[in-house]
Amino acid sequence: MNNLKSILCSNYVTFACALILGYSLWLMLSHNQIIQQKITIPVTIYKTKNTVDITTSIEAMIEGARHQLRSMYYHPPKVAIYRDERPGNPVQIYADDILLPETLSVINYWPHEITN
Amino acid sequence: MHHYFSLLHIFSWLDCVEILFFTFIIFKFSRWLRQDQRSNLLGYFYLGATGLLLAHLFDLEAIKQFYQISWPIMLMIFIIIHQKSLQKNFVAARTLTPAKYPEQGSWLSLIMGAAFKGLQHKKNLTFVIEGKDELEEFINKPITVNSPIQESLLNMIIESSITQSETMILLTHYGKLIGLNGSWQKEIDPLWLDKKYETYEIWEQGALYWSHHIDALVFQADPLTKTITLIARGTRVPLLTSDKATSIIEQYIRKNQLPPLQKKTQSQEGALS
Repeated sequence: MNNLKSILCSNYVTFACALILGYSLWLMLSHNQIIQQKITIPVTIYKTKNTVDITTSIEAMIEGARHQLRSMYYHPPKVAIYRDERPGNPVQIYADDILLPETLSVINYWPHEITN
Repeated sequence: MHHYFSLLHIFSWLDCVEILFFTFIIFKFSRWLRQDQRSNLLGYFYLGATGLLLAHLFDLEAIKQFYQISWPIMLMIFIIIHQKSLQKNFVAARTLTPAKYPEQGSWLSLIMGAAFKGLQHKKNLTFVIEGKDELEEFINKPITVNSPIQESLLNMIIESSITQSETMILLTHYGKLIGLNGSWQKEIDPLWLDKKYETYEIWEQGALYWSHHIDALVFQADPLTKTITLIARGTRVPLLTSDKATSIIEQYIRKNQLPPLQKKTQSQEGALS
């Protein structure tokens, strides 16, 4: 019993417990905090139904509650566009093209158009 | 940030700073709670925190709300209990470096003689021998002396009108006189003492209470029986001859604990601690 007490009272164990409690307290307080996260989203532009024309990526600023942002890592956002314009013209990307979980929203993204 | 951090809801380095901030506060508080040797405050703190985590994990709203309301009160209770313990242990944290004086028996026999000589002058002198715990926080001493014990000095103290009839004389455990006319800084509430000790004299009640908390040894000569009553570590040892008392005090000074005594003379008693 005394050994257990001395182990629990050692600085390392106290720090480890403090780290766990500190993290938990932080998580409880910031659980619903709305935060913004800059991510890279892959973009695929199709020439025809099954023919990929361009594969690139865009940067986007995503906003959402902290606990909801994690869902991005299970369902990564992506952009898939069918090019119905003539080759050589830039392809416009709209906010609606970015496929995100419903609880998250796009604040900004760049570039807005992809050129060959 | 790395994918694993994202799984922990950590999306930037600023989140790490925030976590370290809370960790630091809890670590310091835990270490402070750990200093309390009397009660396992740290264990109770961990228990309470685990309860909160489980309530959060299983989404137990009522318990979470209860925690939100009562956490400040709980923390205050921790602090109050801890402060009380600290107060009790205060001097234990401040130990004195003992100085070694070779002729221990000689000064002890001098103060034994002074105790009985005081009775002739109708003065009940209570001698308090400081142990490793400093007495300054516990005993007022209007007259500070800093002198080795000498027979002439003791005679002067006994015969002087400055010395009160019921007074405490403070000594170190290496034979130095440090104060006269001393008194306990705090009066003892009668509720702190067991009823069966009500028959004891005031100095005995005080000595029984305080000797639970500090390692001072207190003794006085009894004017009726012409014996010494000695109190240390919450134990009262009455009816001692001068030689026996000297021997016990010598052993106490050497080992900082009372020697095993015969049941005839020892009465294990004390204040409620």
